[in-house]
Amino acid sequence: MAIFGNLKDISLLDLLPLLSGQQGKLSLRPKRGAELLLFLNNSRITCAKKGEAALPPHRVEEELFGLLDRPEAEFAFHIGDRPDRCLGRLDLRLEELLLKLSTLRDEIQSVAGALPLPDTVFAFADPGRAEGDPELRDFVRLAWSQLERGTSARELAGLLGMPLDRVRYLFYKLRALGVIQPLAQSPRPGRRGIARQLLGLLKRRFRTWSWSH
Amino acid sequence: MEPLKLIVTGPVGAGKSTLIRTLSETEVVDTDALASEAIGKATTTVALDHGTLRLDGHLLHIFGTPGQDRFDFMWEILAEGALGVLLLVRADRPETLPAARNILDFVVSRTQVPHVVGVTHLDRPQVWRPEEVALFLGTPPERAVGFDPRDREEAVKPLVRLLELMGA
Ligand SMILES: Nc1nc2c(ncn2[C@@H]2O[C@H](COP(=O)(O)OP(=O)(O)O)[C@@H](O)[C@H]2O)c(=O)[nH]1
Ligand SMILES: [Mg+2]
Repeated sequence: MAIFGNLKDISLLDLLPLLSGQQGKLSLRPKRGAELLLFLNNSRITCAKKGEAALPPHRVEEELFGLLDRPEAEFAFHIGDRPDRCLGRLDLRLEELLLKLSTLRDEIQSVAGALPLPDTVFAFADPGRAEGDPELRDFVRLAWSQLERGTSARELAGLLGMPLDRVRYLFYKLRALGVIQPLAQSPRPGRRGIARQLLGLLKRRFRTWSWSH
Repeated sequence: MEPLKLIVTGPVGAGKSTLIRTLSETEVVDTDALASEAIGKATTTVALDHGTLRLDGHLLHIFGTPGQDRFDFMWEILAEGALGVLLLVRADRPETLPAARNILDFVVSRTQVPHVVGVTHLDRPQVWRPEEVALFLGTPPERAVGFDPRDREEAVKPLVRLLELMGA
C-alpha cells in the first residue's frame, strides 16, 4: 500500500496534513525540474533534498510554494523511510509552514491582477523603506546588486531560484512602499520630423475637430 | 518607405477594438499580408486587431494587443520601431487601473516607444478625470487624453497628442 498520486488532483494543502502524523519520505516529481524529497517525522520536515543538495528552510518554503497551485507533479509517500545522511537537519513544523504558505497564496491571489508583469524592469527608488518589514528587507538584501542596476521579476526568480509569482508579489509590495520603481528607458530619438509631418497631415484630414487645446 | 506602427493596448473593454475600427480605412482583420509586412510572419497567426490609416505617402499600421503577461512575447516584435503606444483606460472602472499601470510600467521600462494614455467612457455617470488617471499611472498629465473612440473626430485625439509631444 502506498500514498501516491498527482498534485494536480490532490493539492499539497490536502496532502501535507494527511501525512503530518506519519514518519517517512515524500517524493515530489514535477514535470520539469529535479525531484524534491521531504523527510517527515513527528509533524515536522526534518530534512529536504533536491537532487543531491540538502535545502535550507527558506528554500523548502520556496519549493513548496511553487507546488501550491496544483501543477503536474507526481507524489509518492514511502512510510518509514529515513534519510541515510542529511547535511543540514531541519525542524520545520508542518502546520506552521502550511499556514504560512496558504496565507501567502491568498495574498497573491487577492492582488493577482495587480502584480507587475514578469519582464518589467524595476530599480531602487528608496531602499531604506524596506527596513520595516523583515521579509522585504531580506529579499532586498538578496537582490541588492540586481535592483541597483535594474532587474525584472523573471530575471530575479531565475537567479534566486524563487517562484516567479512570489517575486512579482514582493515587487508589488516593494513598489507600493516606494522601495522600487520601474526603470524608464529614454524614448527613441530622431522622430521629431516624422511626427510633425504626420501631425500636419492629420490636421488636414480631420477638420471638424477643434485643434485648440 | 518603412511601415509606421502604432500600438493600442489596455485592459479588456477599454475600447481598443473600437478605436482601431473607427480610425481604420481597411477592414479590421487579425491576419493579413499587410500585418505580416509590418510585424513579421511569426506573429500574424496570433489574433491581433489590425487596421491602417493612409496619410499621403505614409501608411500607418494600427495594432491592438491585450495587456496581459502571456502576450509579452509579442511586444518585442510589435514595439520594434513603433511610433508610439496608446494605452486605453476606462474612466469608470477604477478596478482596471492597477492592470493598466502594469502595462505602462512594462512599456516604459522595456521599450523606447513614447506613450499616451487615452481615457474612455468619460460619458458615464461616475468617472476619474484624465489627469487623475495620469496621477495613478505615474505619467505626466499632458500624456492623458480623454476621448470617445466611437466617434471619428474624437478617435484621432490621442494620436494627435502623441505626435504633438513627439514633435515638440
Ligand atoms: N459609453 C461608452 N462606450 C464606449 C466608449 N468607448 C468604447 N465603448 C464601448 O465599450 C465596449 C468595449 O469596447 P472594445 O473596443 O470592445 O474594448 P476592447 O476590449 O479594449 O477591445 C464597446 O461596446 C464600445 O462600444 C466610450 O467612451 N463610452
Ligand atoms: Mg477588443
